[in-house]
Amino acid sequence: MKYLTALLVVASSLLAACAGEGSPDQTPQAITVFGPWIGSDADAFAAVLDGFDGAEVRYTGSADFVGDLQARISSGVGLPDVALIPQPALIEELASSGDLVPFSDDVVSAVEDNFTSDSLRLSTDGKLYSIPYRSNVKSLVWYRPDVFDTNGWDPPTSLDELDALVNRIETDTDMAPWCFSISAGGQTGWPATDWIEDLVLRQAGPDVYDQWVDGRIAFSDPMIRNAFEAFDELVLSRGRTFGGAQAIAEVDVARASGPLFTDPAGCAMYKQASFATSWFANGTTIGADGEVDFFTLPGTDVGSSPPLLIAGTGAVQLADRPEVSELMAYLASPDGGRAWAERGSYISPRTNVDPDSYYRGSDIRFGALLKDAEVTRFDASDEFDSALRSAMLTGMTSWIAGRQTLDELLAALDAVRSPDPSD
Amino acid sequence: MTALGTVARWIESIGPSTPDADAIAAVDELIPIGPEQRDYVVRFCSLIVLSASIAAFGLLADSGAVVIGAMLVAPLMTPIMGAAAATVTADNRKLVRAVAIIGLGMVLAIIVGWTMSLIAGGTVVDVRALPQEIRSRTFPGLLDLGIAISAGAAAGYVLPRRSAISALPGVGIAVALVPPLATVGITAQLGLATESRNALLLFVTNLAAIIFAAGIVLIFSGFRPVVRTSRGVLRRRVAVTMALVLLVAVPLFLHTRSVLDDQRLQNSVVRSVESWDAEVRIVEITSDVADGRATVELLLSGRGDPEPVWELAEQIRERFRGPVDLQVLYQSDQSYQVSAR
Repeated sequence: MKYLTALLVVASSLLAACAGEGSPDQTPQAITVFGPWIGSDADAFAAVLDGFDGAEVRYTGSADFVGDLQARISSGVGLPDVALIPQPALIEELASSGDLVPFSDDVVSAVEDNFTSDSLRLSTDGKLYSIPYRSNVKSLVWYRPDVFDTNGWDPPTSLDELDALVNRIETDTDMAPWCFSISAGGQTGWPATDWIEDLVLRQAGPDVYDQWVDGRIAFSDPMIRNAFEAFDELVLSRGRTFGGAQAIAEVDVARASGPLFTDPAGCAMYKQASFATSWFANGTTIGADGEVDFFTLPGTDVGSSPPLLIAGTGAVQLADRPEVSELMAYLASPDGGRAWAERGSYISPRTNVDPDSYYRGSDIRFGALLKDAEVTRFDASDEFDSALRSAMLTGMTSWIAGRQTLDELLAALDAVRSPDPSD
Repeated sequence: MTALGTVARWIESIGPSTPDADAIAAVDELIPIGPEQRDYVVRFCSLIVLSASIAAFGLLADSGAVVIGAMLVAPLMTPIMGAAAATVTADNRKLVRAVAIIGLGMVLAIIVGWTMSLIAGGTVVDVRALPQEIRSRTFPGLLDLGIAISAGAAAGYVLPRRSAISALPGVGIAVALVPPLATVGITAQLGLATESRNALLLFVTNLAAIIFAAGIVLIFSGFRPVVRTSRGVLRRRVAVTMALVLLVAVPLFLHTRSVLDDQRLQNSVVRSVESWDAEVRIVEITSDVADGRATVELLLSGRGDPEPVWELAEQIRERFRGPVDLQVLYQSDQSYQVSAR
């Protein structure tokens, strides 16, 4: 019997040993990368990093990435070696404050080999700090072809037609015209800023848009104010969003499209960027014959090619080590995006890839939109400096919740941009 | 001498070379043959139906005491021990008979669970509305595996020893195979496919663990393949036995690996939270490992703002040595999501 006891003791010790956790194992040479992608996007980016031949790379993504990165930089503790930043203005701020490492000649030539000069942004000091790693098309409206067919609706070709369609949905059916929410942790409010930007670009045109971004046209200017009023009427009016004010404020942006897919559908349309595909349920088919399809938010004139609002994430370097520069050159190359492109939900402004073979599924259509659009403009709120962006996010959130009037909001935003010297 | 030969000789040397006649008789009587077999099967079926009925009502009524009562009535132990003994002695005829009876018992118990749920189950719209006695049988864990191995070893020890027969009810309670089967039937009737599959997994791995542990103890008690037959026949029997051992070992291995991974992750999370922020207390952990990736949901409380949550995710990744998706709800109103790869 003593053998049996011994056997059981050995077996339980083995079980306990297997169940025990390891001690932290920090490899000093590993390159640390910090970015905004979580979940399946993080998996896709990790697959890209797995293809890097150099040092070991560890990626961490946070839903509150911008706040976390700013905290890491201001404290100077736990700085990542590479960061993926979705806001050009923040990249410029960090470059100006000396927190970024200008690219080495090798990285610069790798970037220039793969991207057009239009897509590159030199800093004010004339140096290159960022690779335009991933792009998004923002001006998309998602809908279910089966629901549109059943009700006899067609995707609108002008803003007036969109307005008429929204009225029809409201009067003819029980569903809300829109699925919409703005809740996104520290970045709450950004889907609302996208709406304003798309409407300014359409109603006032790209020249006014550029002047607005540069600060030459104020928020309270009638041309900008018009966009806020149009958004208020088209989307925020009572009964036009699924779940009303409460859902707008509380439902996480990544889950806002849920009612579009229920049976019966809770909403008819969902305006969201190309990256919304990674928020849809796994295996959702996209296309005219699929479960969901999209049209570009139309322009003011019937049949005209609508302008395209785009956004993107830049890869920047915070550590001046040779292996980090090697990683940056890899990220600039076609291989530096291939694994993600193969998984889907990845487009980039790389010039030396064939979109039809490099991209998958609906990314081919997004890539073509990006390439063929007559007018493209970068997301304004990502171009604004941190203070203005933050004020726009919180201000719009308050305005949507009814805690602030439109006049107050626009005046407050203008005050952030041009502080009164007497204050 | 080969390494295998050394092990074989060691096993030979530590146990009695053959069990005594009383032990052999005790094991032989597990599943009667000949005219008594019919009576045995009728008795077995009746007891399974009764035991599963008691278990199903006990589970639906959320009564642990009633469920224990069902375990004492359950007759599954004898064919399972028969299967373990037949595996060890490479007696295929007995093995097939034992496996057939176990299969019959499984089917009956699941049908009874299903029927009782139809009669008395009502409408359960949400998994969280299930009685605790049922829910606890839909999350197979490390402790369940430990219980099954220990109970199997105890059964293997008690059965050939008539002097230790008083321990049998305790073994029956510990082994507890009918309640998981009734749970399979109940959850299937309620349309809870995942829970039903998990309960079946709990049963199958328990069954595998019991046969495995009991078989090892029977080997230590001196049971060996019978060598009265020709070499070809013996080889065939051993092949069938090995196939069964493999059949048992695969789910057991997969399940063990999965529960050990879960346990390792939980330990990693607790240690990481401790070293991440001493002011923070864990209110609830929900964690799972699938395809090598950890998914962790933490409900935390503490004073002031927590340390950066990305640091916690990185600590968990280093300890767990694998990718982590972490969601933290702090003080019920601050939500954080981090992925570490």
